[in-house]
Amino acid sequence: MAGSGLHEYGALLDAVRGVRWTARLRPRTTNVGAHQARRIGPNVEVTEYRPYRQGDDPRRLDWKLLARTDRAYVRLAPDIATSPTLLLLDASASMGAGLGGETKWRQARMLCVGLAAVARGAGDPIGLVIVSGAGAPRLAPRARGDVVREMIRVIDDVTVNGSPALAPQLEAMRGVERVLLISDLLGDAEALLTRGASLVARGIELIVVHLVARAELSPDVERAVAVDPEDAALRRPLAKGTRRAYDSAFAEFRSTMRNRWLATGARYVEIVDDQQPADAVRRLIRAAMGTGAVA
Amino acid sequence: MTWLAPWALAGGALALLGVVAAHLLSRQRPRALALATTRFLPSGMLEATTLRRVPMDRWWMLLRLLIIALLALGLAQPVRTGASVATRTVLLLDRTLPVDEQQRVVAALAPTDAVIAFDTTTVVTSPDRSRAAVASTASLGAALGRLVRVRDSLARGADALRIVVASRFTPASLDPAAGTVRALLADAIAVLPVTVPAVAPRPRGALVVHADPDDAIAATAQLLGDSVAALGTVIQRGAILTAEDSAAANAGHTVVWWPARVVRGVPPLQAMTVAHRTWIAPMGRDTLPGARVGVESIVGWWADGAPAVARRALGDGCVLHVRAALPDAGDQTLSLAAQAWLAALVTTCDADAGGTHEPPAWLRRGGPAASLALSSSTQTSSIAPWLVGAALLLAVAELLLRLHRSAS
Repeated sequence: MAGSGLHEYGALLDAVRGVRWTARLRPRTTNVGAHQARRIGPNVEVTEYRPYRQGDDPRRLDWKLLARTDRAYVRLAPDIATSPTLLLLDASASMGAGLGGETKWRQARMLCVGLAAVARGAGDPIGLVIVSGAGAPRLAPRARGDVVREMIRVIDDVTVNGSPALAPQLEAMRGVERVLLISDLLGDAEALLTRGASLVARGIELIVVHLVARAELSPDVERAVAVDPEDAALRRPLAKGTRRAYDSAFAEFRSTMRNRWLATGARYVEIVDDQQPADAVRRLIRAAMGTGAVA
Repeated sequence: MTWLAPWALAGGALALLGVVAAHLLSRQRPRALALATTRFLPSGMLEATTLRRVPMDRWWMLLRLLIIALLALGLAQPVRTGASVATRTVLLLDRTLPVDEQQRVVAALAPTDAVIAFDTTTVVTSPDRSRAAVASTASLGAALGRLVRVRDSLARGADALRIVVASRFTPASLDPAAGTVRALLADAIAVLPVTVPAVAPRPRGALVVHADPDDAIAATAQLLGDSVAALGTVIQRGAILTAEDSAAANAGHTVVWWPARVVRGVPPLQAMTVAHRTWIAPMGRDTLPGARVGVESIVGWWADGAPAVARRALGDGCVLHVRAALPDAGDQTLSLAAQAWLAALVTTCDADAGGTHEPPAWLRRGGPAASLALSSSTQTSSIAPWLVGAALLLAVAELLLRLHRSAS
């Protein structure tokens, strides 16, 4: 199972090798990593000196300077730390059922694995929560070498179904510096916005990946009855005559989501399922780092 | 290949068109499609009628067309024709036709398996036998009646029976029973009208009645006037025919021999028909012996079919023997019905004027009493049950497939 998963993701893992994903917000962790830490610490790369004060760690004293000048100074340098990252993957029925569902779910899995590989490449602990109707399997953030392989195994075992709530999963975020939400935002969007704003206020970096299927953007269906995979009672006619109203409503929804998520301070990226996964990962990381377009 | 019920082909064609139209004009529930963004679609009707350029569900349509086509072909009952099919031809030949016309008809229809030669009597012969006429008038009813009796024996061993009637179809030959007898035959009948050169009509003149001065028939004849019969027509009311009457008949005149017998009291009502004219009056039936076969032919009947008027050819003319006894009192012979009947009687022996007559339409179809027709046809289609069975089998398969499809 794992072997077949690696085979599927092999090209993507090769393509994102070497990509750096620097944390936009300085992490508060103390583990040495690749991101500039929020606290100043005794690093090899000295940025300033200050006189020793009582209570400072004697190991920070610049002993050579003390010997030459008989003045006690402490070496100061910015610390580097890891940024524990949690991927929150929406596996509700709308992510994988019906028109365009297969490619949308595949793109979600690819993004998940690609981002995990990039984060793992920087030494960041990476965790995963998959929210589906059958439950919410969780992998706590870890920096082990085989964390990506384990993640692939878990993702491949998941079947999209149900209409689970994503917002409760945003509550228990102890020790996490970055949260990446991959969803089509067709579920509990309002609750997610509230929780997301709360996360951002707590200083956690939140990146929202709004996944959209090409078939949803332009459903090429002559005549059918559309049924919501998460609510069988919701049935609407899908025909040429209803396309204009549909396009308008869907565009307004996406625009509203973008503006409201950006207003919370989160990063928002819209990814279409027909985009090359490696390109989507790079674009997403640029946006997350604040160096690329976010829409 | 021919069809015993070609109407089924027309019905099948209409049904095929209906199926194609139904597949073009589709009003059905559209297929359901899961779409995560369904909520952004406007609500509205879930069904709509659309006219499509190409039929929807073409395989289903083809299957249904096949079912209907098989059913229509089966109901149409195809039968083989041609050299491989044994068809027996029966010719109903009017032997009052001129001999050369009869020979021409037989030659034209050769090979003919059997000939029913008819005038007022019938005989079943072979095509190469002579068919001398006994009477000068023909009775199509007699010919058809004979055919009803011998049809099964003639059709035995044959796949199809071909019936052809060759006659002049004069009004006199279309006796009232012909239509009813025709309805007893389920076979198709082909008609072959024969035209006889026109003959100049004989001059008309007053009826001569040899009777007592107060004879009822003489009074009726007087009412008829001068031009009702051919010149020289005589009504003999005496008990016997005279030599003068025989000489007149030999000379080509019509002699009506109606012995002036009377019935005492009030006899019951009787109906007597001659040449489609019926006279209903209180009369008695004469007790004279019946017609002599081969010599006399019956041209008038009582209501129950008993002979009332016999005709005997004599020389160039004929003698009509009326066997009715009138009451000794009453004026019923002066009625218009009696006059018309007598006028029809005295012209019975007149030679037909020749020319062409149109065959009656019921002869080809099935007769005026077709609803009484007996299903005596032995011609059946051997492939029809297989076609209908295949259609039913496909229909059941189509139903099962549709159920399976809807269930899945």
